[in-house]
Amino acid sequence: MKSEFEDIESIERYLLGLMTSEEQAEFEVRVQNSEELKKNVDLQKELMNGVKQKAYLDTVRKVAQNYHFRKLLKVWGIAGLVLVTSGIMTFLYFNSIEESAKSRSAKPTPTLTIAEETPSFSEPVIENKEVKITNKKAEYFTLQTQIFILNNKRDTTIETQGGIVFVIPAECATGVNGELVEKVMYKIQEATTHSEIILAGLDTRSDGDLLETAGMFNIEAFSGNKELTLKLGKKILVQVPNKSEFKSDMKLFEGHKDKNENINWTNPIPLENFLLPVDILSLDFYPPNYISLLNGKGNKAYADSLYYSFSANTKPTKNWVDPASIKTIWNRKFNNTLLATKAFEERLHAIHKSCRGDIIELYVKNLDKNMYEIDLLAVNMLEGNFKQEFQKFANRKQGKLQHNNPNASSLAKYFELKTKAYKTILEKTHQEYEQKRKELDGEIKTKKLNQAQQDARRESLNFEKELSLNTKKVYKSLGINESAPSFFASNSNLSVSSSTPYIASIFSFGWKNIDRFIVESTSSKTSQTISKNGKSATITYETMSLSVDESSFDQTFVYLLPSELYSFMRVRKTSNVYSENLNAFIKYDLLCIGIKDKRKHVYSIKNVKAENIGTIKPKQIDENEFRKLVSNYDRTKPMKVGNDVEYQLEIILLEKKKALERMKTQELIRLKDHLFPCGWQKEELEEYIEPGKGKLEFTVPPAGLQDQLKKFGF
Amino acid sequence: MTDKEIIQYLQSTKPDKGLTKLYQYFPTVKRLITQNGGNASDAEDVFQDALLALFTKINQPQFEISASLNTYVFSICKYMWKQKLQMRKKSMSIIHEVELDDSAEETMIQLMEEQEKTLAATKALDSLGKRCWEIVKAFYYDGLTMQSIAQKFDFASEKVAKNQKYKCLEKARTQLATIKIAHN
Repeated sequence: MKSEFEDIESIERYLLGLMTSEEQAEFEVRVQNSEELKKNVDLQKELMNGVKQKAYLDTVRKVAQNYHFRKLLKVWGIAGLVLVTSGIMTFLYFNSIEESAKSRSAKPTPTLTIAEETPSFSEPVIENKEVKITNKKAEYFTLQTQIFILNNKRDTTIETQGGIVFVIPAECATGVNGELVEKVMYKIQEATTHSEIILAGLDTRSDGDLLETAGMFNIEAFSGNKELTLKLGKKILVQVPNKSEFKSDMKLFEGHKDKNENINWTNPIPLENFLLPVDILSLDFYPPNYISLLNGKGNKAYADSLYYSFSANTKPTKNWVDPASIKTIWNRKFNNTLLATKAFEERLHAIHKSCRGDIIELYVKNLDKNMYEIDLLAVNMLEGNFKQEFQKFANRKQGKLQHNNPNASSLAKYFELKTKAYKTILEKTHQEYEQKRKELDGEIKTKKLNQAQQDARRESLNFEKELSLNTKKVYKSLGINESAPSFFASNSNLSVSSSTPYIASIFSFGWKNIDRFIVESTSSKTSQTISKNGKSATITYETMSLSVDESSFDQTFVYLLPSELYSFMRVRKTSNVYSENLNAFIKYDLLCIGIKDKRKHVYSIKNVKAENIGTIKPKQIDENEFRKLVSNYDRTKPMKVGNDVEYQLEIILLEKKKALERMKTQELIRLKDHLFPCGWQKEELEEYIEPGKGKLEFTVPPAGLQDQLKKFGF
Repeated sequence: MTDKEIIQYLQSTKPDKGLTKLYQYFPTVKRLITQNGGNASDAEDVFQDALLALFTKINQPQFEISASLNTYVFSICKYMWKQKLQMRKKSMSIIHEVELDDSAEETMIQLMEEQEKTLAATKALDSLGKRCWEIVKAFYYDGLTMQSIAQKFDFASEKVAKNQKYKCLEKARTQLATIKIAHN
């Protein structure tokens, strides 16, 4: 097994261009002699190319999924999730099913249950229900026709754009001769606002008397082109949103057309006062306008997790509606209870505004009572505007569900326990999140510290080597025995004591002076001419400068790669100009790197001259190409420029993460102010929102250098 | 979003934003394909392949594009669908004529050939477990060092991480060899 990995490793090094030329030559011979190895090299090369392709492909697939998901959301959002207030209907215009409609009330009513598969916001898999909106003008009215295709074998609840809810029982539509059909297309037109009614040319007369209307609708059923009728004994329950003051004497009328195509409304029947249950997940239990505040970001799962997270990370100053309690009740367990109604949704929005979480409990504990009775209990607990609002709710005299959930009584206990459980879970998640945030801060600090240490070490190694080089050259020019300063070549601990005590005792004073000039010249990187005994030596430093077109990068770095020194040098930038004094004894290559997101861009100059280079713009480079490039420089160096670039990249990414974190926090504050209007404690979050630095500044720590200079008496 | 912005997104770490925008061309492509002997799933395949080709191209170092992205995507789709129909021995009369110039068509053919070549490798990589793939991707695509990979994936040391990476690579290599034998 071990030899197998060795094989993979050397192929990788070969393909990435990380081998030395000897290694490479030897490897190529091996490849020529082994079919097996050759085959593996090819396969591995293909895989390396494939990685990028697959990464791209994965992204495309993900986007495709999202695209189709969003499309579904949009369609479903239009037809099913319009948030409206509950109410009562007044006018019914049954066209094709008029005859059967008349016999409705005389027959026993079927049991209505909301199908468990009713599509919800979070799982928009619409199978039994295709919702389409067409712009086709209807035959009689200039109103938009909304088309719903339903599985006739299942009970379904639909909601129109205008917020009218239809509870359609299974097998309620039949052919003219009573034959059953599988799929039924319902065409619905509605006029719920005054402008719609007027524009549609609808009249509100009943045998000559003017009626006051709360809205009208027309519902027709088709199978293909065949018109269907409502089966005898079946009834469709309808709930029309009430957009103005509630009036208790509203009735349902049927519309008929006379010879002159005018509609006359007749046959009034009183309204039912029981509540229609809908799928609880199709309701909106969030605080009012929460979704619009998210500016279309994320999906339902995101909105949920964000809102519920506030349960743990918000400390209310007064009363509040704990998101954990909303999480508990917004659950299909509460389907077929008072809570799963448009009426409760409306009350909940008022509760959010009043910040009175205890009122929710009131409803949960009294699920077996009539809605208006609980409204009255709430009136007693409230004051001011909210008291009035709930009094208005109570005036509607809304009753209970026709078929209450048999488990209603046990749900109060469930509410209490589950809210506590959610609270615990949410708190734990919150702590983990905080922990992560702290870890991020810690990680950035550690990374930067490491970086600073590395920089200091590198600087001091480079300094040593450069000093040694300068000294050698100067000594040579001055005709001083070359072996004298050889101690500089000793490793990292620079020492000024002479290697030969004998020589030192004779020359120490004079040489020290020369050394001092050299040290000074090397540390300040300025030219210096040193004369001794009629001879002179010059150390020359000249300035190289350049600027980088930084507009398209997050960050740019310029490195000098000196041929003679241990490692690379990072060039300092002052007011957008990178500049460094180059030592004439040393040859330098220049490498400029621009980073945009995670991508690297490179501009390199071989044997750079000490002059103003002007503005350069790095070009994008492939990851493997980049590795090849830097490995050329790094082959013989103990501190590698490639590693430094990676390190910078990591720090940039972490900083970006942190900046994002800060933005999120600001966003949270904005949201919380809205969601918890009665106040919450802000101190906790404030520490995270101090404006951060946009870009990282690299200041090379002078510590290492200072130590060196001290030794020389500076 | 302008073409330039879309391209910038595709070159950034958030290519999905650009791709999402490009998806607005999907209905047009779908119409083209469904009106020319294909079904919705053909359209989806072709469109995704086209996005992949464009994505790859935009991320090549010397990237140049002369036509608008709309034209480009549409032409790639048309071209790919023609190829597919030819393979199915059907022909199609294109309703919307949008032609690329010769050099653009050449690069496109080249791109598709490249895509074809890496297809087997992509499949082999698809067969890796999630973690394996993430490790391989971190090294070869994101360009992380083995040290940061060891940290990121909680390996005890760089060496352990390295071994794990080679193990994954070996698995993909074996898989690729199998795929190739099956193809020949």
